[in-house]
Amino acid sequence: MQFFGGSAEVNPSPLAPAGTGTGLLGNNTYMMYVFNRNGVCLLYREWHRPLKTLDSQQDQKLMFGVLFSLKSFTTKMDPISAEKGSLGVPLLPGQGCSFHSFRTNTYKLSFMESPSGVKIILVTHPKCGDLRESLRYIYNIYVEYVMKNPLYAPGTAIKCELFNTKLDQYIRTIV
Amino acid sequence: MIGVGKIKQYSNVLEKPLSRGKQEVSLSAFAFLFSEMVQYNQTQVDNIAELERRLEDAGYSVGARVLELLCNREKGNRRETRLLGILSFVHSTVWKVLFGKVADSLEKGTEHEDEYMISEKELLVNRFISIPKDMGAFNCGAFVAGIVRGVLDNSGFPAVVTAHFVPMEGQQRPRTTILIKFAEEVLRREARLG
Repeated sequence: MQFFGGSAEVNPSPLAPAGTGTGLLGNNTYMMYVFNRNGVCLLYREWHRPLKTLDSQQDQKLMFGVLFSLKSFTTKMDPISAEKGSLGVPLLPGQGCSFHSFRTNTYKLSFMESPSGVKIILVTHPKCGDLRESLRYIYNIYVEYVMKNPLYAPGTAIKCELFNTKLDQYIRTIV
Repeated sequence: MIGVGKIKQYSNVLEKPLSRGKQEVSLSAFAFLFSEMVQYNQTQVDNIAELERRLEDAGYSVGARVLELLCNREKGNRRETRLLGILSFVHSTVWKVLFGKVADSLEKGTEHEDEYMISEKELLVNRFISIPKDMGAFNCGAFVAGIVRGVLDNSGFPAVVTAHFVPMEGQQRPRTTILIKFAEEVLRREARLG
């Protein structure tokens, strides 16, 4: 299994002007990551990110690590289901409980994992509501314009312009 | 016992009536199948022109069969002899059966006498496909161009058919044009027929 092989270049789409991101102009989304089941970052988009601390490869590895740990942690702490799995072993997509989002005072991170192991992360303004439907819609866009594209090699960074266009259009409408 | 009762068993498969079949096919199923066909051909060739040619050849076989089927079903075994006739047949009937709608437009070329163009805002086969920059002018619509060539060739109108992207102002996705260039003999015959 190949972990962290290659990463997507930073792809700044038309940046939101400074000062927005308060939810008024529809620019609520700050960043987006898409990982596949091996930890390869398929897509990284940013719309509003004033503070960048790490270079992009490190940043993506960090994000994937965070999700991995959070998933193990939430599964372990689950008071309801019986099967816990062992620590340190990567959990399969269906196993354990699936965490949805966490919110801080400056941002909200929403997460979705598909049965095929494709993880979609959206970092938005903290006052955004439950984004599970949006994440599902984005996954649908991914299936349509990336998976059905014969000129895309699975496991590599996504460079399909149809996907990027539809994604940009949709992101603008997220409340 | 199997087969006892209702259904009339035909002794010979050739005596069964031709059914009209199901009119609808899942778009996703077709998209995946077409995607796989393109990927398969990609492994067999080493340049773009060859890939386009292979897709066109695949379309040619489809075109030949579609012509037979449609002549039987839709037109009552009439044969088109005039240029305009066959072009409007392709533009309306063939497109309707294959893609569920008639083509967007049919135009006569302005520079040359033997060129005609069928345009479509977005070909069904190209709907989910984005061409990466390093593939240049490659167009998976070559498959559709092959279908048109199959229909024309087997009706007695030999032609060279290609698919092109035509960028439109005000729209992101370029329009697709199927360019049909008829052979000399077709034009001469058409002129003779008056």
